[in-house]
Amino acid sequence: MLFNTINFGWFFLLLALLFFMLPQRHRWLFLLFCNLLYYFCFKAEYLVLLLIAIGVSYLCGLGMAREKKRRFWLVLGLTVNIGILVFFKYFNFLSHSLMDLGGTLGHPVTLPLLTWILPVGISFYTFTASGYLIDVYRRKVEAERHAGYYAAFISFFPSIVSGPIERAGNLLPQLRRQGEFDGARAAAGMRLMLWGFFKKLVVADRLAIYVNAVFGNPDPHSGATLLVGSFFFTFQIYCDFSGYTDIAIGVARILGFDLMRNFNRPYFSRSISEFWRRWHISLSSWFRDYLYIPLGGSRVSVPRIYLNLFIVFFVSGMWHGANWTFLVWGGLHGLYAVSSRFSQTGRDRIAAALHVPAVVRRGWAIAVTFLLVNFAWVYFRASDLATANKIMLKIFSADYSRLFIPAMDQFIYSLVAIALLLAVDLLQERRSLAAWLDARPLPLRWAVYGAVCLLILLMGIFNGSQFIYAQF
Amino acid sequence: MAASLFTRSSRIGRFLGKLALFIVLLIAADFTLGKVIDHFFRKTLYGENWSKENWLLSRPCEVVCFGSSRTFRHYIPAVMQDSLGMTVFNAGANGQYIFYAYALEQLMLERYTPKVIILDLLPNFVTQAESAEEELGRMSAMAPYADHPVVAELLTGGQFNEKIKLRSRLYRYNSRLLSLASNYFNTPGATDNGFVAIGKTRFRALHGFADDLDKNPAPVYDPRRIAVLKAFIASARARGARVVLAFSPTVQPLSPKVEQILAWYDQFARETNTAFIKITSAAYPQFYDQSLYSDLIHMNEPGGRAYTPIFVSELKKVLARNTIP
Repeated sequence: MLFNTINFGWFFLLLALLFFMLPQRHRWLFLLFCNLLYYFCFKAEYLVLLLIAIGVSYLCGLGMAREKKRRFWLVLGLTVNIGILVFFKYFNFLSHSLMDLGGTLGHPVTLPLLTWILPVGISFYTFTASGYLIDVYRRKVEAERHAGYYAAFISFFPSIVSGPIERAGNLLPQLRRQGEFDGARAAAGMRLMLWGFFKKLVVADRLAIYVNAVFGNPDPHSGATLLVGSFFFTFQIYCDFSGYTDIAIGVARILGFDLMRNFNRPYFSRSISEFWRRWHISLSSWFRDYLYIPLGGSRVSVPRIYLNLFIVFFVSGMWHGANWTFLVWGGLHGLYAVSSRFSQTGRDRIAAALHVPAVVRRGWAIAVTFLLVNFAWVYFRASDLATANKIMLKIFSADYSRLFIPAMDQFIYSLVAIALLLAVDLLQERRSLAAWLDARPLPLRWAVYGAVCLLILLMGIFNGSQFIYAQF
Repeated sequence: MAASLFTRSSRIGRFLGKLALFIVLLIAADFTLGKVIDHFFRKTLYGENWSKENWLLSRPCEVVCFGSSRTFRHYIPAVMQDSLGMTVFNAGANGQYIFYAYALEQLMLERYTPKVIILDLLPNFVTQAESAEEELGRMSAMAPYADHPVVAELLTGGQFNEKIKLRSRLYRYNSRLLSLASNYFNTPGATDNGFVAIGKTRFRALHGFADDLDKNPAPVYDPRRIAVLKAFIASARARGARVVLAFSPTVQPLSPKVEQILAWYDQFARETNTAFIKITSAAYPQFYDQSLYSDLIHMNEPGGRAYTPIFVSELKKVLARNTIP
């Protein structure tokens, strides 16, 4: 039951009505039931896995609260959570890699392979639970004693499939004290959902048509086509993922919950480090708090900082998927981050010596960051490493003789969709459109919302396609 | 439930009231804008894709060719008209199968009955070579005609959620505005009674029959598609039109799987007493010539000019016989 299906619309409508009709003290129970029902609808068997992750991390949290063997409970909880993730996500990858290695070394081996589909949202809920355990261990939050609240926190349906990866300190208190229905909050939530649907249906799924055609069979395509395909994917993944996040945050807001921000117009970043402060914020802040800082963060020697940065991005690549392409993608971002930090002083000196105006410098930095991110996305999207390398070689081969355009009108829709997105994001860089809209009279607000609805009906792709990050 | 909500909380009631008003206004805007687009759409008569249905429905013809992109590229109405002495329209459409042909036929038969209906068969008119979602996606070209019950049924596959989507007038023109504008300003003569010569003359080995791309070694027949094919023939006959099935050549020899499906069509034609003009490259080896094609299964204009006269001569023989309905 994906957000972009009518079935979800029915589910959420019924849920919201019943949720606010119930007395506040019983809402958590109803919410928990809906969370589990929502997850059950994807694949019933994987509910067991979710319940194990919830149960183990809940008990380990309680174990730490008893002040004895705190480290033991932490290690046990993390081992089970990360173990579930590693087993289900990386088992086949490790088996394949070992078999390939054996073959290369002249000792072919046959290892078992799992035939199961990756459980939906496994990377997200295991990280949410792991973050909770570490926070309890660090005494940043108290262990949750109410099993129902805790289960509702981990299985919270708006964020379980693709995040944001919530922190216990943010969401658990909200589950305990639920307020009355707030019309203004509900309207803001619906507005966010509408923009999320625009990004997913009008931009991401539209661009996906071209991207799938090009990346699915890159051999006959020219460098120009592959470059356009990579640009389209750059916007597709942004709109797909941030569209999901907007809908998730909007859904939660209607129900009275505030989820953390996950995107902040990342393609206007002026450096890779800024990009990661604007892209998938809940994951990058998770890695910052639970990996980078424990490794020493920036309070160590310069070479160690570089190593720490590289480790974090490499692990981030691993988190995304069990494929060498994701490792290279993470590694590339690691290299970008290290080289950006390494060259920062030199670049500043050159710019100062050349008296480069600030606006030119800013534009240049945004363009370079965008291109670096764009090239890394090629590895993220390609089916395997060889294909990604082939695509990159073609892009840099200067074969720009012909551009594949299967249908001109569809191609124009894609460009219009990107232009609309950039226009809105650019305006948002200067001022909050939400605040601007809130200050406008009702007829104007409704006209804007209505226009977006009609645009979605006219330009959206309504095939109920999967969200990209749901596979992680 | 809504009533109890109103009594429980006036805040929720106020919010739902405003939301309901917004939805009513949205529906009104959708209906009005949809009607405006509808008005312009009905006036479009030309264009390679999508608008040709309006020509067929507004200008009665004596012979109509239905089918896929192969029909679209292989049957030249001007050549047929000269030879048959009857008005001919090519209603074949890119990326369309039997559902589209049946829907368009139903719309046409409501308005007039041609003397002869030709249906150029694709192997997968009767096989399961794609998903139900793909089938629905293909049919979206007929969305502007969703008020017709048969079209609506084919468009939605009977699914409740699909029916809801089609309640929107604008959704019926989803992703079509640019082609609508282009077709609206297209001039007479942009098509030759539905036929457009394929633009590319260079051969591209990109396309093949969906059944040959499908991994199943043997054809899997689709009862729903077969039922629609039968209904296509039956409804034409009920109105007094003669139905002729056809199969046009391909550049390569047919695969065993496609041969098997053609044998099924032979049997089907016998059982339903329908004429079947099968012009394969095996029987007419001149059609193995690659210069007559733009890809594996689509002829270019020289191909169409080579094929149409042969087809017409066979059609004349069929029409001369009075035993076949």
